Amino acid sequence: MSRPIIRIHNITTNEVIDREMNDAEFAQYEAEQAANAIAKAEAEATAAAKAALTSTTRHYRRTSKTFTFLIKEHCGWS
Amino acid sequence: MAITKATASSIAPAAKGDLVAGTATNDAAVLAVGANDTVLTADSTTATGLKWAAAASGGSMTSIASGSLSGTSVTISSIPSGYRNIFLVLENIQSNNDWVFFRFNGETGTNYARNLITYNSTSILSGAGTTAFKSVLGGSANYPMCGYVEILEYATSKKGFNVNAGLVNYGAASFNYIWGQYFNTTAAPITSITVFGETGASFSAGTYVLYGVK
Repeated sequence: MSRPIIRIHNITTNEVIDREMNDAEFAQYEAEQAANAIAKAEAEATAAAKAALTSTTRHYRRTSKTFTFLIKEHCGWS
Repeated sequence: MAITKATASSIAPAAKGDLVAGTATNDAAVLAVGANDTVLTADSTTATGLKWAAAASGGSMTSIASGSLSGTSVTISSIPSGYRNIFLVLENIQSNNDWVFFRFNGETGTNYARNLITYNSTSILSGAGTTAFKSVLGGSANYPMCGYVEILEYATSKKGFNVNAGLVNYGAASFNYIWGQYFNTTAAPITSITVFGETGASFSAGTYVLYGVK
């Protein structure tokens, strides 16, 4: 299986080389992909938790308003 | 005595551009024209109180490398010294919407710190101890991106460098402004910059020009 291609532009020689990653570069690449996947999953989990919390808060506010309204109606509060 | 036209004629400038300048009260002399691109400068040590001198050098930008973005990363290596700052300009960046990262001297340790503002945020996103100088913006075929990275005093052997970057996605009308630092493990100048994407997607288009700034 071929590895990702990288480009290197040497300014001194003005030479541009496209080649596959070597062992060290590929190991670093794979480590970064794994780290990025974890970070992305954590970010998505955080966003999902935030969205759930926001939804719960909105529901509580609506319920609270309804409850207050019913008490006012039942007790004759103005 | 004022220098009249007759007086100046009697002094007789010898060539185009020669000037008649006072040397003392009631006395004058010819100041020969200077070399091309020199400017007239006051100098009390000369007979006329004037001299021709090279113009003070101002800031300038010199293109030292250019090319196109290709593959999963592009490394611009063997960056020469001789400039104060370097300024990398990127145009038409297209990949799979991959957030664009920058790495210096191939350093993969947690040697980068950056603060970042996005177009729709009132808060600053900070990241210390990251493995690259990271944006949170990517470009694609439909929404290409442009930007720059500036490294101040890159050619000095030191452990810390100030870095500024700006990226604009001109299809999606969003931007990142990033400022931070890169910390060298050992004191050394910055001699390479690597541009790559967060998820390792290949660049499908884009160009770069590296400028040296005096």
